Amino acid sequence: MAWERIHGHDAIRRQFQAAFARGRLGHAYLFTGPSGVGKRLFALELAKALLCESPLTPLTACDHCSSCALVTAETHPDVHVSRKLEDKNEYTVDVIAEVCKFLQLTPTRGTRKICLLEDGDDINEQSANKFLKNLEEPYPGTTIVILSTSADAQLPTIRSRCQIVPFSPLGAEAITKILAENEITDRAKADRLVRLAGGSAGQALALSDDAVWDFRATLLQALGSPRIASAPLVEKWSEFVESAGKESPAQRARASVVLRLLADLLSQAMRLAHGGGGDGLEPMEAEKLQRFADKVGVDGLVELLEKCVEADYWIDRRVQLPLLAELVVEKISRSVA
Amino acid sequence: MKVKCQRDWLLTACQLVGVAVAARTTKPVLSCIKAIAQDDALFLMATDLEIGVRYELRGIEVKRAGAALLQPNKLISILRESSDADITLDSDENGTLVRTSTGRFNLPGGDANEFPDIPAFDDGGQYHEINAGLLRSMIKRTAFAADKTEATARWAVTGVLWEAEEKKARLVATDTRRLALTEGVADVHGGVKDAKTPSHLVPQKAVQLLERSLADDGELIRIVLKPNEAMFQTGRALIHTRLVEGRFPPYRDIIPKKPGVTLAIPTAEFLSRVRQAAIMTDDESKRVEFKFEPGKLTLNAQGGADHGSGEVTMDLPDYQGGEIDIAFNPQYLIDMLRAVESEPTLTLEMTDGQKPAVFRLGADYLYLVMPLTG
Repeated sequence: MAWERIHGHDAIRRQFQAAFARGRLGHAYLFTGPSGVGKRLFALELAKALLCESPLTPLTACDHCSSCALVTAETHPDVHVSRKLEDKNEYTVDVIAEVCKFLQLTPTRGTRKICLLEDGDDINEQSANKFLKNLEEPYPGTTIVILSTSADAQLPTIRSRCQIVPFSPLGAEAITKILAENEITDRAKADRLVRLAGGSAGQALALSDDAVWDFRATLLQALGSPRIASAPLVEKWSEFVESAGKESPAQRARASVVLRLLADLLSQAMRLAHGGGGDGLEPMEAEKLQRFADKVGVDGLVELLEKCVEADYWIDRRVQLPLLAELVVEKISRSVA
Repeated sequence: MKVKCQRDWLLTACQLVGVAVAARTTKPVLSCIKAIAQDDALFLMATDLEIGVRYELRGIEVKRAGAALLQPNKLISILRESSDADITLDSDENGTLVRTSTGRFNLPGGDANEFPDIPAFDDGGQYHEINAGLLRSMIKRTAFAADKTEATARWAVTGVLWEAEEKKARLVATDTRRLALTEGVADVHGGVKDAKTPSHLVPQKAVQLLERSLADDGELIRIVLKPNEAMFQTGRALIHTRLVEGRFPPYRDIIPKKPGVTLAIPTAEFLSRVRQAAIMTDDESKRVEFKFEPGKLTLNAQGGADHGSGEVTMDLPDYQGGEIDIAFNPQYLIDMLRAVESEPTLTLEMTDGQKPAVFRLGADYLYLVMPLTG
């Protein structure tokens, strides 16, 4: 499989292979782009290719040697994958200290080592300062990859020490392929997921859960009703989010999916309010959204969309999820009233 | 994998290998011991990706060759609680069944291919051998001086410099305020490194693990230093470690060539006096003033405003040199004096209160400590 499992980023792959062939591979890269477009997958494939014991062609992993197996299992001694602690908003200094320690030890299985920092947006100044010396001048054979949603989200001290590699949102074809690889082959469902995913395969897969669509029906039902009772909807919203699992990251990811669903419904309502047709909506759904759009008006819809964006921002800032549900539902309820 | 082996052998092996199991890791596979059964041997290995231990148990009844992941804590508890002479381990993809005469224990398993193997000992014809007793003493007398703060600017000094020359090995450690150097007789095979070879900086963790693994004073420890790794083969286990990157400071340049005065110091008495004087230092100053004068040494400690002060004296009947006032962090002296406590006397070389002082034990041990100034 090797690079074939990475969809939609062929140009970036070619760029790396060309740099590798010229012996001009950089020591630090900042992969930027929306979440779910394959930055992490690409970085691990790059690590695998760099460490492969019998590469098929230059910088292409064989996927069969023990080194490839260890990178896939994330237990390769020369690959360090770092992320912030689950209960923290930011990279703590001790997590960065582990990164520094890895960078100060020699590679064991060859001459290269790769360090991947997954939550690049959450490196605070204190942690960055601890890490800058290593980022600027790592030992030969070191490749550091930082994943980030945007170069602007980085401290200037980090940004200036990395080569920036922008990852674009994936096209419909790439997402459809990824969905097919995950056994989602129903054309109508796939099209709907592609439309909702906004170029993120990760979001498309998160949205593919049937429970998500059941909840979407609940949301749609609420929007189409003459009066929206806040408390029951907040309760259903919270129950649905909590059903994602006991762990906070799973619940936050689910909360983000709910907001995406809601934002999509509001966008569809906006389109209907401007006299357009619903994109992929069934007649009954379009009818409910039309009623909602008529009641709320274009300005109201804009405000609701802004509220969704604000709530999505707060999800990452660890605000209690039931409070966010309440914030959004109350706003909808007041708009209708 | 299916093996039958002696319970106490396996217990000893698991306990020894278990020290390298990653203490806190996000990778469950690294919290396991990997076992490989082949021919008449069972290989046990553990790693935290920095150091790894590989232990070989010979004379095992291997009923089915293969590999398995074993949970060390549970397995060690089972082995400890059982009183059987022999025990059977039967592993498949679902886990391991541990069979004793009175019990059956199912341990969950994992994919053994996800475990990074510890390479077998490969000296490539270039290695050196040191007597275990001597090596233990060399480690004890140097490793404490390595930097423990892991400050980013000078990672190289967090490791212990390991050098092999003709007929001797040398260990050097420093935190830039003190430096310990020890040499010992080594049987060097396959030539010595040339000047272009990078320094071999062994992480403290590996050195400490090696020290703990040295059981029998008489055995010979075989050491291989490669550009990226070091391997230590003891009678019972192979310890494998990555090295610390970077260049060790040019330590030879800072060792004073011509000291002003040289005097003999009784080790135990000096340790006792330094410890007494250190009582009155506080966390902020950590400073003891040493006044050397003919026949006598006076140690003065002055803490902060509310901390009081202390004065301790010690006779130095053989010292007839000039007066020298010098100040040290007492902990730097205590660390060294504890490591050489068994030696009756040390030689102290000084020039003045501004230049480094050097403690020596014959030609094989040197401890340099920077004085506190100001």
